[in-house]
Amino acid sequence: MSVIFRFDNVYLMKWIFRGLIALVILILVIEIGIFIRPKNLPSSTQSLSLTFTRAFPGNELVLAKGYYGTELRKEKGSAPIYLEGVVRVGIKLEDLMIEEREGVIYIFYPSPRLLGVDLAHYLDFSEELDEEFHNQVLRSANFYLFQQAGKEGILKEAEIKLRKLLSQLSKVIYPDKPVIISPESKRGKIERE
Amino acid sequence: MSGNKRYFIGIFILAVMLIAELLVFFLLSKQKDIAKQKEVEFALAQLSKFPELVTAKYRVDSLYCIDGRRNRINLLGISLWQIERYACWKIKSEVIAGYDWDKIKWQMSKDKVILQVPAPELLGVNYKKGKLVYAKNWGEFSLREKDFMPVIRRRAFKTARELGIFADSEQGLEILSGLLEEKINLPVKIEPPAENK
Repeated sequence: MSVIFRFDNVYLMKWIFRGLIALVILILVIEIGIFIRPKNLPSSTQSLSLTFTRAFPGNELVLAKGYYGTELRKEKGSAPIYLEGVVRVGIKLEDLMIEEREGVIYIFYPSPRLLGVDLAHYLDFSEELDEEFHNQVLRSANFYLFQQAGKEGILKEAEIKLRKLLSQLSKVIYPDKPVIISPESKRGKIERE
Repeated sequence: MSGNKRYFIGIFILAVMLIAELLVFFLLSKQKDIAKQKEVEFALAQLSKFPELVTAKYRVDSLYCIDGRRNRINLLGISLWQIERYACWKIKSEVIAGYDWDKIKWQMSKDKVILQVPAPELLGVNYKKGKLVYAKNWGEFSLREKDFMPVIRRRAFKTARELGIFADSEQGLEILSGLLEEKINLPVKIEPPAENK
């Protein structure tokens, strides 16, 4: 054993020398690899979709939600039937189109649409039950609730929120690229321009 | 120079080089940590400009009804005929819930960023408008905001909570952590603050 650790063993010294050279080169290569290699980032158009997919696993983006109430009367001045329930408006994420052309990011969004209505509660104020009117109102309760929410601007509110959300997200994801956010319906016009 | 002496000098130089390289490696990684920390700080400052991401807003209509009795005939201060009266108003309000940015803290561990976030909280219930839905024997409308607002505030908040306003705020926070991950290229973990654990 004493033969192996002696410093005058040329054979051993030679191998230690070679080993050290290899180690120095290896560490240099690792250092260069870590600090000089380009970052492996996803392509820019993918990253917004990825962020959305991660945040909304259900593929549905609810943009406006409210608990709306509406009253329906058989004729003017008569006692109403009051309906209240939840109205949800939004988009399907798969309908969101993100493209990159000549360094510009284009985001085309669909018009927000009804995702669901649930009648939660109703109250009939009439003193005598008008069965036909009562049943007709309850049958179409979801339609009336959505109609009321529409009158109060739920779709507009949803579109404003969507634009704001897309603008905020794109500013963070593509800070140095111009981004055009437009409704899907204006896509043809933008492409012609 | 004999063979083993030459190798000995070579080994000595290489050992010095190795130590220098390790030192550079250590310094560079330290610098990288500081740079990453600054990057996280910058990204969070940028994201804090968009509080809408972590705030949810719901429109809530609540029905507010009151009933009582009203004197129909009043003779010298004595009521001779009282009738039942009843009225219902639809009160529109807006419930806002979310996080207070100042309460969101962060810390960086070696391979991830930890966001310490308290539970979302109610930020406000705003009264929008009231509309009479139905009135029976109700002479004059004497509905005052200060009378119904405490009730409406409680009711609107309860409804919004049942509809999932806090879950929506949490989803906003998920987007925020996703964005942060994109920006800093490190996993982001959301945790309650240390004192709540």
